Amino acid sequence: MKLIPSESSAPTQLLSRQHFVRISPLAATLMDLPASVANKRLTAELSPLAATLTKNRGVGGAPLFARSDNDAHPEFANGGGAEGFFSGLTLLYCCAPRAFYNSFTTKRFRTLSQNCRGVAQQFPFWELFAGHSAERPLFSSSLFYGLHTLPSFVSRNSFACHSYENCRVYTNSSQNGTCQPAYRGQDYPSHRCALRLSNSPTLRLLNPSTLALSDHTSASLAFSSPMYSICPASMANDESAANQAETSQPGFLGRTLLSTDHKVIGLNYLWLALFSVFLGLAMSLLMRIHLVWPGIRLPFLSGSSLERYAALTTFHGSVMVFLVLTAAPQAGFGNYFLPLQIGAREMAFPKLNRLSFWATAASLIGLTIAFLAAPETGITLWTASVALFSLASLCNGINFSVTTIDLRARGMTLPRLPLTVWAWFINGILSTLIFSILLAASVCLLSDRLSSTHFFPPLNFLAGQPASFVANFLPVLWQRLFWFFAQAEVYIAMLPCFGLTTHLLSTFSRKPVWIERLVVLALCGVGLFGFCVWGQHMFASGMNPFSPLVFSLLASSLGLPATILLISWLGTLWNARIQLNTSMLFAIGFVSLFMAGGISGIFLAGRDLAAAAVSDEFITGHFHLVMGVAATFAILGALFFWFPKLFGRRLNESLGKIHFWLTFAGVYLVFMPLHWLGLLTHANLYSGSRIAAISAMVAPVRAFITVAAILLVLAQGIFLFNFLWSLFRGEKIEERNPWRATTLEWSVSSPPPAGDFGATGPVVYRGAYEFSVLGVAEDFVPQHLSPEQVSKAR
Amino acid sequence: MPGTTSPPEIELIIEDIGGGRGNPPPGDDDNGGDGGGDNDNRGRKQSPSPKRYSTAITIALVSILMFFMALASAFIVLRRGSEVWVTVHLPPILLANTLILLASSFTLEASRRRLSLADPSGFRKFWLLTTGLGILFVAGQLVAWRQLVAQGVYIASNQASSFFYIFTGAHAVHLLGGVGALLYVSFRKSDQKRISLSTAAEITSYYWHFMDGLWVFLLALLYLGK
Repeated sequence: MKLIPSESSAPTQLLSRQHFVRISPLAATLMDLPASVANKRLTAELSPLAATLTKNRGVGGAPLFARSDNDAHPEFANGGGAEGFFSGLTLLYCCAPRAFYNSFTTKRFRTLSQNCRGVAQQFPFWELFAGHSAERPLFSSSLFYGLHTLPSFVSRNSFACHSYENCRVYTNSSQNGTCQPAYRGQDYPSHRCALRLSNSPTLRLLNPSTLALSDHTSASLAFSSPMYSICPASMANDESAANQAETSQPGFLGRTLLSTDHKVIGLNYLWLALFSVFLGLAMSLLMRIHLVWPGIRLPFLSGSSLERYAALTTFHGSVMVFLVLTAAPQAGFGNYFLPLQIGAREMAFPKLNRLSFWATAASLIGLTIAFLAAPETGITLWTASVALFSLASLCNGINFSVTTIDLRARGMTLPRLPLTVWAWFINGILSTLIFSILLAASVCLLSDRLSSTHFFPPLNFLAGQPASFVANFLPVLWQRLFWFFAQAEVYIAMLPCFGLTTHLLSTFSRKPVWIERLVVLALCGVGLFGFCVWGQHMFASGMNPFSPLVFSLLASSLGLPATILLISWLGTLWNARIQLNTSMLFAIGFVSLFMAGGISGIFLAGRDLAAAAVSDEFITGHFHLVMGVAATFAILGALFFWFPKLFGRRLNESLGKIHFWLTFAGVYLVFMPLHWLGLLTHANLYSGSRIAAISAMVAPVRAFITVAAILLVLAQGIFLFNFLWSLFRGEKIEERNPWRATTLEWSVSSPPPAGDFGATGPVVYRGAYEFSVLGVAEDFVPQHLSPEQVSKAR
Repeated sequence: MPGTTSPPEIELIIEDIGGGRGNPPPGDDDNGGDGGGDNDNRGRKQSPSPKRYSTAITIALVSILMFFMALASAFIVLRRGSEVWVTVHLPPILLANTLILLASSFTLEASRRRLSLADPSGFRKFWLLTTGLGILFVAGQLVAWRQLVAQGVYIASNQASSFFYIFTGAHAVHLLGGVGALLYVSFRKSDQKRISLSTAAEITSYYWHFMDGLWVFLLALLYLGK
């Protein structure tokens, strides 16, 4: 079907064809590109100080960079009313992907940077003190009631499934137990037969005729013998052994990339994330070095082309956000440990799971090629890769939520779920919702690029239109779609980390999670509110004047769940016998970074402050601290915690502690000065002497940040060494449960066998955080221990 | 037969999935898009619960709904924001297509009723009729596209036409997935599947009715957007 005319007849098409997209939307929105490019551009020709100060004054630099693009954009050229100027700038930002091409005047940067405030403003904390007494009773009554009643109804369905699973027997709940007569012989394949479980340890055949019809009667009849019910385990083991003997051992590919085992796929994701994180770190180092010493020739930054720098920023941001922050905590640890923690043997759709991994890996390859390719094809490929990643995340989200809903072990009711599982579950649902939005936006953008549609019109297309058209046509559309996704994406990255941190803090404090139910509600609240606050990134985009108020309130209301989480963490730590190992250190580091990032978020949630006072460097510092680094700390903590389960060996504790302290100091040394720089460059300083005084400080601070960043990245070498060395030479773990933790994954050997739980599925008797229970000999009670098995204290 | 004591009301189904057979099942790749079922021989062949399919389709439908809502909100925002909106004259064949799709929903339900009345041939007849109607709908959409192209309305002509093609295209892709599911249900090899016919038919019907309603919504949006 030909949808594109063979010859472009309309002038609009010609216009849109002329204008090339240089910079990706992600770079434009998330990675506060204008600032970086501005800095880069300016530092290439001026000193960094002059760059910031001219940016501040908004005048000095303009003549330097004023180009002939004023002719192309008459709405900017008049510069008359402030409103016109502002909307023009907004317009410029809105079509950021296409706009930055030739619009580098300093004045514009400033408003652009205000618009483009990174991934900001989550969790202001004042809501705690503002008094939310009205909400409390509501939570404790209706929602808690729901929590209590839900499990009995949900878990009923999965109750019987798992205990008989290895015998490959399941309750036929949908058909209410019996085959409907109509289906016999046709719908139900002949090898299925209905059995009725009696009280006795044997199984009584309900419908022998079906069995007799079967073409492999002997196998089926074996199930009906008393032996089956007495030793189902041995039966299943025999069978699996026979199967393994039949099929040859799969090759390397079969064991890794082609496997549908959730553990293998989870590990694949983790390896992918490990590779990506070092790739992203290398890119950030290149950027930092280039910002401070623009004269040095660096790989990928040949010449002084702006496109290369923009591509670098885009690549760094996309790889870090998608392949590391989204993939590692959710898809990596989630795939490995969610089935283990809920007592399922597998994800709900293993093949779909494998497909998601392939799509994710392909999107990394696509992003890399997009980075290396020419800008024009690169950005198309980038969009396609992002769309592919969205698809993979959608499938992942469906898989995670279905697994949690339908595959829980017997007795694993919702209140007994570990908080990690809760976080993965909520995150899965959130992913299915928001990645659809990104997918739709990517499809529209791809359509714009490949078939010249105008969903997100390019600037010079608008320039050719009548003024009234342009004024009404401010394409906030991309912004809306993108931020609808991207704000929630922050919580996609953070939610699993909340779960992981809570889990680690409780385990190593040897105390139950304080206010556990409230924490579950808070996790749900983060998912819910995070879905509603996209508008806070668009305060300056000419939206309805009332909507900033609404979004500001919503953004502030995120402080409530964040505060609940924080209080729970501190309450768990309070008066605890803390085991300060590396994993716990990283968890506490997460709390610290989350608080630091949250406090700077307070500045950004308010509309006025956000629009007026702060600049891109403040944003960079803020969201790196709260999203990037904090999430990385949670991932590292989880890795130190689960490494024995993953590989049967421990990571080296001394190296781990050195690594932790260097990283902890490093991130504060890098990102705190960034906050300061951001405030500084937008401070209103009029007296010349103070400008001079501050100007003398800016350049050294920039250099200091860069040096700290280099040291920080070098410190990660310790981790890499520790990881690889421990993989082969680390201290072997003989026991199953070295951390004396309670959840189900510690009830199996390390690393877990192919079938996870052996012949009989686990049965869960208690909640996930029963530490230091009174009257029990040990200070923890695993979930799978029946009350009779718990040894009493003497 | 031992164990004839009064049984509890738990009914079980044993599924023997080729474990003890001489010929191991071949890698069945005709699982449709659901990717369900793992047949790697590691003693883990038990499909966990048939309920997972209906749960998955529910969540997937919400996700698809979000996708189309994003497109629809984009349409509304652009439509309201622009003063010069070149309307697309929607081809009348769209109404015929809509009727076809609505009819297919009814035949699908009739087919499922036959299934519950233990009438497999009637089920199959109506099921194939539904499939045919679905394919007819997609063909009708192609005709509508051709008519628009004949009028000189291309995807890049104006925003209204872009939205028309994006809406119909995205919906057709999703509907083709539904047609694939219909074909899978009618031509599957019944002896190797873990999902019973009635469950498969039920899940397919959810998806199909959803696509039906979605199309009515999109068409109403396109007409009102004129």
